[in-house]
Amino acid sequence: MRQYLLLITVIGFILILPLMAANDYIIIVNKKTEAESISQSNIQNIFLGKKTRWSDGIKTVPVNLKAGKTHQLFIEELIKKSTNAYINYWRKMIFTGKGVMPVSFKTETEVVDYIGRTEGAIGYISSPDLLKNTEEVKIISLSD
Amino acid sequence: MKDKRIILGLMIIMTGTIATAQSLMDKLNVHGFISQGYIVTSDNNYLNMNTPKGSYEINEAAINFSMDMTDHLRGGLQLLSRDLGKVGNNVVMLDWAYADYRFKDYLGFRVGKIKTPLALYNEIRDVDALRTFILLPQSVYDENVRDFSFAFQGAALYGNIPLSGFGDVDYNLYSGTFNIPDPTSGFWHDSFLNLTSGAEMFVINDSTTLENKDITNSGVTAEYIWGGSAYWSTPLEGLKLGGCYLYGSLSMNTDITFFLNVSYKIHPLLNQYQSRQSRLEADIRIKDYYTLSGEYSIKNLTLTGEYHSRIYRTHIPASELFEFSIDKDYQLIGYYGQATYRFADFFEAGAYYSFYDDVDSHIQEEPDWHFTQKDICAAIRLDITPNFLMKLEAHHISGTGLVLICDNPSGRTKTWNLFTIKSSFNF
Repeated sequence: MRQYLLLITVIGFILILPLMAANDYIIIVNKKTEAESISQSNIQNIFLGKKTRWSDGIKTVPVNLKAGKTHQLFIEELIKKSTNAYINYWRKMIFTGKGVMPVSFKTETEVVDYIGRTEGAIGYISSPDLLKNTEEVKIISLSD
Repeated sequence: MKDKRIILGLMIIMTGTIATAQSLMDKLNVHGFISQGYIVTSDNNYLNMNTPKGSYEINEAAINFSMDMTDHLRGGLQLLSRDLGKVGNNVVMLDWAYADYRFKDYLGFRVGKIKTPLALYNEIRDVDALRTFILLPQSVYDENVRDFSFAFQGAALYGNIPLSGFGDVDYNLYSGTFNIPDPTSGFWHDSFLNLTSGAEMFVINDSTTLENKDITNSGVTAEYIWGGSAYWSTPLEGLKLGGCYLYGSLSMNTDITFFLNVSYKIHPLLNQYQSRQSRLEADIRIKDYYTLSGEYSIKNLTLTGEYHSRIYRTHIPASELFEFSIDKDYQLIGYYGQATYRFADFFEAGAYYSFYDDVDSHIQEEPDWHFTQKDICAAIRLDITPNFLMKLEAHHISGTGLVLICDNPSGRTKTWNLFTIKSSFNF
């Protein structure tokens, strides 16, 4: 009996593991942003430059990481593009004059710092531990 | 004391000016690209080049400057230098330059010189780094008609409209005019030859044959252009459907000289060579110029298909050269299907099949392949660094519908191949 329970637990863990790894990012915004949650479609539209205002009229400021697993997962799962396709999308905007590449940083610390001092900014990091030393940034949840 | 106040005032002004300039510099975005290629064909001079001998005359370079001036207002411009055989010749030109005011996400306004939103890739046709292939499918992205399809001077409305769970739509509506940089270049020269061929029947008769003809002082004036596009990002993730429409008007005029051989049947020695000059004018309407597009991306695979049709309505008024006016519609169609797959960050490959038909130009005296062109293409793209890439591409082509007659006076070959390689750097 114990062996079966152990087997079920291991199988269950293996099945859950991809989901745990897949959601390896949290969404953060400047604390002045009214939103407490955001839909996947709104995140996608903000990071593609299609949605430029929060509901209170403040300009949205998407903030990216330059590279890494967190960046890749966020872009693939929420923006629904590969990282190469995402870069090409913004290059198209640049070379047709329709937009500028969102700001991006090498480290998550820089992302947190920028979002903390920029009204309307939204970005993503891997761990809430990075927010221990700031009160200017808050976590918002992903809604359906 | 007064001098010190003046100096202090000047320092304040200079500091403010420097601070303003620094602030502006912080907001200024500068980007650019450089591409250089080599192209060779087994037969036929193509794209305004002597391609059987190989040509390096395929390159682009650009630099652009843009700035968000306020939360709603952006401005920018791009300078472009390009060469494609006899076209471009690396003359630096204004590619686009406009002010963009975005009232809401669903409504914005642009004014200036704007890239024409035609089909999926027209706005980026000069940016090699933004696609897998060196040559876009010519059946839809015909380089011969680039002059009136790549950009216009005028105004546009645009926006993105969410559809509450049914995706969203990006739209454009525009109106303006366009420039023809060189009315004597390959495509226009061929167009004048085609126009003047209709006048030949008025000078040729039983005793008069045409030895040669010459056109000079050619001019093309664009009058207006208007159109729109709409692309629906559907609820099925990765699927985009849409289309575009364009209508335009231009006028063409040229001096034509016919060199004739007049035969007097009494004796061949009495035959005479004569020349006859006249002025030819024509009004052209670019009507029903539309492209329907579909693109589906899933993970690293992208499938794209587009269908294009355009009709030129030609009106030649009665004149000394034409006894009566001529009105004729010429339709051209083209379509393609392509697939690209990114195997790794540094490696992408793709292929397409493209078909073109100059529908209303088929005549019994010439084979159909003179007016059609089927193109099978395979390409690979190597992203050596995030900013530097190389491409290799091969085409197997049947037909010469898009091969210019003026570049191939000795005739054209039905089945031919094309190879091209290109490298690009962007920042």
